[in-house]
Amino acid sequence: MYFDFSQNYFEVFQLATDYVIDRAALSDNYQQLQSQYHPDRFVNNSEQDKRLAMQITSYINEGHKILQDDQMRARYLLELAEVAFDAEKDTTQDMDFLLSQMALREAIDEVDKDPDPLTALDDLMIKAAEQKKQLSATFQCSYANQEWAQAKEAVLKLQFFKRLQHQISSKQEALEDELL
Amino acid sequence: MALLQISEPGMSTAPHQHKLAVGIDLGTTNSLVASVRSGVAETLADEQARTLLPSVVHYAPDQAPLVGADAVPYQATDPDNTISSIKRVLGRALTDIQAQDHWYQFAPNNDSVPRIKTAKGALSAVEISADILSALKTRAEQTLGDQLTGAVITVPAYFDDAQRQATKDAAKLAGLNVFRLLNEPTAAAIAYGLDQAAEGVIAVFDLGGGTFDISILRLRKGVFEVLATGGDSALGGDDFDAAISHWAVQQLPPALQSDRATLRQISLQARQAKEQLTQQPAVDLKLSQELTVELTLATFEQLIEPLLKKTLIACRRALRDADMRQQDIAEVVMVGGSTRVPRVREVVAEFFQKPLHTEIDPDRVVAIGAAIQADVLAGNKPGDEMLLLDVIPLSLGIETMGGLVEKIIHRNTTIPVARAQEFTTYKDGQTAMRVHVLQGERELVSDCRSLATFDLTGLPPLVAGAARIKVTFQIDADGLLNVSAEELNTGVSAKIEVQPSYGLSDSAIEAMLQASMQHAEQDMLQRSLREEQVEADRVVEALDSALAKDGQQLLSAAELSVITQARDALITIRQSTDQAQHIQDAIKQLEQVSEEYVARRMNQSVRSMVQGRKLEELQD
Repeated sequence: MYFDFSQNYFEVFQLATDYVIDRAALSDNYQQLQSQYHPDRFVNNSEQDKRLAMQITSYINEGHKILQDDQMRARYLLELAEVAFDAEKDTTQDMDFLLSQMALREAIDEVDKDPDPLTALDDLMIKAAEQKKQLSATFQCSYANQEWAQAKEAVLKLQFFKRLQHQISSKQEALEDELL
Repeated sequence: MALLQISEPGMSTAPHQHKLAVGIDLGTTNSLVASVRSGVAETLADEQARTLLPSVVHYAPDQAPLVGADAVPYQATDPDNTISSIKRVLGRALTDIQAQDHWYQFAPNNDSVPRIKTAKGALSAVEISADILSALKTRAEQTLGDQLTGAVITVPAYFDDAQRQATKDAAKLAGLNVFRLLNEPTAAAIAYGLDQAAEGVIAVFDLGGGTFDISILRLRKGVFEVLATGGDSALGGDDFDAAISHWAVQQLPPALQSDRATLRQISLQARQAKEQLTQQPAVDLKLSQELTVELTLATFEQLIEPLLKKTLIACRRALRDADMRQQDIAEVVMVGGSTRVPRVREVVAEFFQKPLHTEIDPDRVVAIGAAIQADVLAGNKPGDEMLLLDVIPLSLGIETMGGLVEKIIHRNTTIPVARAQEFTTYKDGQTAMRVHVLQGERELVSDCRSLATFDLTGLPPLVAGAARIKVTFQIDADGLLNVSAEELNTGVSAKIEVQPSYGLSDSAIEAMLQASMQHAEQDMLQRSLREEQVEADRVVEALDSALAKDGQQLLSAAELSVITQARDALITIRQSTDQAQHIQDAIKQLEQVSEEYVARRMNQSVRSMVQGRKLEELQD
């Protein structure tokens, strides 16, 4: 069993290091790698082999998760390009964007007044997804032109949407729990 | 034969051997064992052709535990020592359990593992489950004719780390080599998927005796990829029974509403009523001598409606986690005995807008899938491309300031998975720190399940905030957690002490393993003692009846006295000793002194046979 842990995730999945990816190839290569390295293939091997298989598949799974997700993939690309992130200080200065985020968050709280809150939340989720799409396009463009500051700004904004989507689904779950 | 044989690395020179491997469905109500024989997966039956082993164990003092159908009658006659639905307790804390209705009594104890009072002492759920697994192992070895190489044991997909660990511990205690813990819905999908070579996204709706699971899987080229899973590890057919019982109790006069015997009687009837209602529109429940009430199908369906609603909400959530909609689901597979209830099938079909798969016996489908996976893992099918990619069912997090949980690995992440988290010290020279690991979706520590506390010790003493401690949370293919830690500046790896919150520590498991081996020895000694006692009784009885017949006639007074003395000695020893060997010695002694007497009796009986007959008659 041999695996090169120094490969970046794009290399692991034999994809070009780019924001736009061939999802079918990602999926095919993921399955192929799993078939090769999954711990179930080494059930009768030594403890060391089992351990190694577990570490390799953990790496593959992590890579798969990052490459599949638009925001995580974008951020990973910038990290490969040695753009630094600092969780404490990084934020966007775009006031219009921040205001629209506040409005969306208020909308989540408002659904309690809606006669059909679950559908209202579904609608919000769709709205968020559309705006996210535009941001993805912005990132793609900036990244291609190596405009790192703009690209980073887009990643941070995508991060906002990610948290928003998480809030929406938490709200959905809370409402569902109440129904029980 | 050649002195040296050359073989390619990895190629055995031995002829291909079929390794015996089994799949075990350790269920709340019933358990099964299955194996692939001549290419076909089948559930293994006992001598009486029964495949379902009721998950019931009866304990009596000085006797090996009774498991399965043999234990069932004791539920009525000796309920305190007859344990059922133990899976509901497995890997759980006393506080999780007490809310539920259980007939057995918990023993007070110091550690966090609940123990149930039985005639065999206070037993943990791991030990009781191990007795069920042992019975299945014995059945498999007897049927298959050899020792097992390994087993795949199924667990509800929604089982948390403690419940999985407890299941694995029970298997270890039963002497099984666990290839893999496999999620029940995944096992069901294997059983169906391979039969029908399906491709696409499928939903597996698994409603068993005590647990409910919903899993969304993608099947492609022999790879089963779990996209999302959800459910409730304490929701199942037992709750249908409880709903009926609850309704029935309300029909009773108040005086009887807390009568234990009546309540037990009702709970036994509730289960039968539920089963009968799958075939007929109404059943009679005999609540007491005077009172019989009719339970209609409509009432029953009303009673279980809130429970069904819970299952559908879990379905919605799983779909959302999988990023799928109802119309994306190509197939719906029904698993578990409770899916026999027609109303369950109706609501599920309505929710997914699909006809349901119910072709494979819902009680057996999980064991069959597990057997297929066990066969592959044992290496009996080289070149087989089947692979399972499972997920972690509940988010894993750590406690942060203010009693909050920070999620480190989100639910429905494909396993194995590793995540590292960096910590720092908050005091100068601090050499130890404590990490509290939790599982669950809620934000407050108090709303999540505490899994373990890790004490990291041996950190290099540095100024506050200078140490960078990387803690790695690794979840293996069974969904079990391992933690390691390292100080990044110095490369010193910290020592980790694990204190499982609800499970058993490794040393506790070790002690139980040793105890069970001593038990096995004790059981064996007990058995041989009983055998010798029976033998002694038989010998004495035979001797007495012989002496009564011809003792006076064939023996002198002195001879008779020697024999009688040896006989009395045997009786005394038989009654006083607990050593089989002593009884055996006394029997030998008696046989020795009776040798001459026995010989004389033989001669006499031969003579009496021959007397008065002609030689030719005897030659025939």
